[in-house]
Amino acid sequence: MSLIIKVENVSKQFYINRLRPRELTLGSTLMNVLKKPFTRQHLKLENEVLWALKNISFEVKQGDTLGIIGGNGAGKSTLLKILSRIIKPTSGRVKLRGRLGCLIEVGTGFHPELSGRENAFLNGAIIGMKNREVQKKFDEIVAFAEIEKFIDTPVKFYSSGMYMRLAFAIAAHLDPEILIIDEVLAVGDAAFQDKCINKINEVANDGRTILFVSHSDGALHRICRTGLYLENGRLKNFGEMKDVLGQYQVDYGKKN
Amino acid sequence: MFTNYSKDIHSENLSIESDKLSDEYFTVIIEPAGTWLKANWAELWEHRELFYFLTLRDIKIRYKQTLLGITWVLLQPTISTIVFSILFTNLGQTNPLNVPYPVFAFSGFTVWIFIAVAISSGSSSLIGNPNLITKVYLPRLILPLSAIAANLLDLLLGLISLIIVMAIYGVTAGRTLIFAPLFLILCFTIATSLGILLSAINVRYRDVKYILPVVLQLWLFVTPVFYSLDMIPEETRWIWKLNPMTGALGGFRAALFGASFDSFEIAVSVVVAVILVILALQIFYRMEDSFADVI
Repeated sequence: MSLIIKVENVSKQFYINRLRPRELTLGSTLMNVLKKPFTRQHLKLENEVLWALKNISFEVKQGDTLGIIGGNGAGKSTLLKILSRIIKPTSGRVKLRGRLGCLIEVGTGFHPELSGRENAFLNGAIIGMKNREVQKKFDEIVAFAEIEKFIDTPVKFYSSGMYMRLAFAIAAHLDPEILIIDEVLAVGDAAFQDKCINKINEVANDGRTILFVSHSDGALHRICRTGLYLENGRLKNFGEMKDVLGQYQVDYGKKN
Repeated sequence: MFTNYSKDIHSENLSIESDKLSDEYFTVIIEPAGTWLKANWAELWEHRELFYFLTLRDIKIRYKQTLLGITWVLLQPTISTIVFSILFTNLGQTNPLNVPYPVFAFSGFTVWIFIAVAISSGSSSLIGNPNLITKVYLPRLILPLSAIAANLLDLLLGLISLIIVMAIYGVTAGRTLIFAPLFLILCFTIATSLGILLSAINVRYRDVKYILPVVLQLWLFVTPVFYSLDMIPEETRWIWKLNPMTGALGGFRAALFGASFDSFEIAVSVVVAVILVILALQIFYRMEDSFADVI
C-alpha cells in the first residue's frame, strides 16, 4: 500500500492569554506600537505557552483506518485540525496525497431559514462535494436521513434528531481519498449510530483512508485497524488498534 | 485526482522509503504559517461552486422574515432621495449636472448604499461564520467575496429603478452611457477590497464593528453623493477629489448624464483602487493562517 499521509515532527503551540479581548483591542495595540515601535512585543501578551502537540511524527498508508485516542486535552482535535488545514502547525510539516474530507462537525454552515434541500447542497459544497455529486446522491441522502416528507421545510422547524440525521447523511456521502472524522458519532440514537458506522466501514472497505477520533471503544474496534495514542500532546503509542487501545484502557484504569 | 501509486512500500522500511519520496508525490503540503503573499487562485477557482452556494444563501436569507422583503432595497435610496430633495430644493439647489435633483440624488444613493452595504457585509463575513473557519477548511477569501457578491442583486434592482426614475423625469442617458459599467466596476473594486481587508482585521479586532458604521456615515458626507462637486468652493475642491469615491461616483454620473469627465478625480480613484486591492489581499493572506486560532 502506498503512503498517503506523512506527518513530520509537528508541534502546535497555543498562547493561553492571547485572547483576552479587553487587552487586545485596536486601541491598546496601537498604543503599544507607538510606545515601542521597533519591537514586536506589542503583538504578544505575557505568554503562557501550551504545547497542544509536541514533535508528532507518523505515517499512514492508503486504505488504512487510523483511530486516534487520548484523554481530554491530549491534542486529538488539534491534530485533526492541522491535518485538515484549518490551523497551521507551529513547526513541522504534513504531507498529504489526494482529496481530504473533514468531518469535525456535521451540518457546518447549515442555515435555519433554508430548507433541508437547500442546506444539503450548501453543506455539500462546504465539505467539499461537487454539485453534481450531491445531485446524484440526493435521493440516497434523503433516504438515509429518513426525512423524505420534510426535505422542503426550513430546518429551523426540524427536531434536533432530524437535523442531525440530515447533517450526518450528507457527510456520510462524502467520499474523498482521506476522510477525517471527529467524534461526530456521539449523537443520534443507537440504531442511527450503527447505520453510520456501517457506512464508514463501507467507505473504508472501498480503499479510502480514514482518520477517526472517538471515545467509544466499540466504534474504534469496529472501524480502525491502527491506533494512535496521544497524551498531553505527545505520541504515546502507535500500532495495532487492539494493543494501543489495550494500553489506553490500562492507563485509564490505573488513573481511576 | 488520485492515481494508483504502484510502488509498494513495505512497512519495515517505510520511513526509509518514504524519505525518498519527493514533495511532488504529495498533493498538499502543510507548513507553519508564512508571511509571503500566497494567493492560490487555482484553489479559489476549484471552489467556485461553494462561492455560488454561499452567495445564494446570503441572497435567500437577507430579507427572510421581513414584511417588505426585497422592497427594502428600493426603499432605502428612495427615502434618502425624498428627504434630501425636500431639503435641497428648499435651499435653492436644483439641477446639478443639468438633471432634476431627485434623479441626481437617487443615482448617487443607489450606488452609495450598494458600496456601504457591501463593505459592511464583507467586513462581518468572517466573524459571522466562525464554524466555516474553525470546523472545516475552505479558501477563506470566498467568505467576504460571496458576502459582497450577494449585494450585486440589490445593485441591479437599484439600477433598474434608477432607469424608471430617469424615465419619469424625462432624463435621457448620454451617449457616454457605455462607460458607466466601468465606473461601477471601479466602485465594486474599492468596496470589495475594503470588505476583504476589514473582514480580516475584524477577526482580531472587533473594534471594526463599532468604527465602521461611523466611518461610513462620515464618508457619505464627504463624498458628492447628494450634492455635486460644483457646490464646493473651487479652491477646496481638490481635497474632495482625493477621496476615491468622488472619482468613482463622479465618473458614473458623468457617464450616465453625459457630463464631462474629470480625469484627475478618476485617476485618483483608479490608483487608490489598485493599491487597496494589493493591500487587502496582502493583509488578508498574512492574517488568514491565524484565523482559526484567533476567531
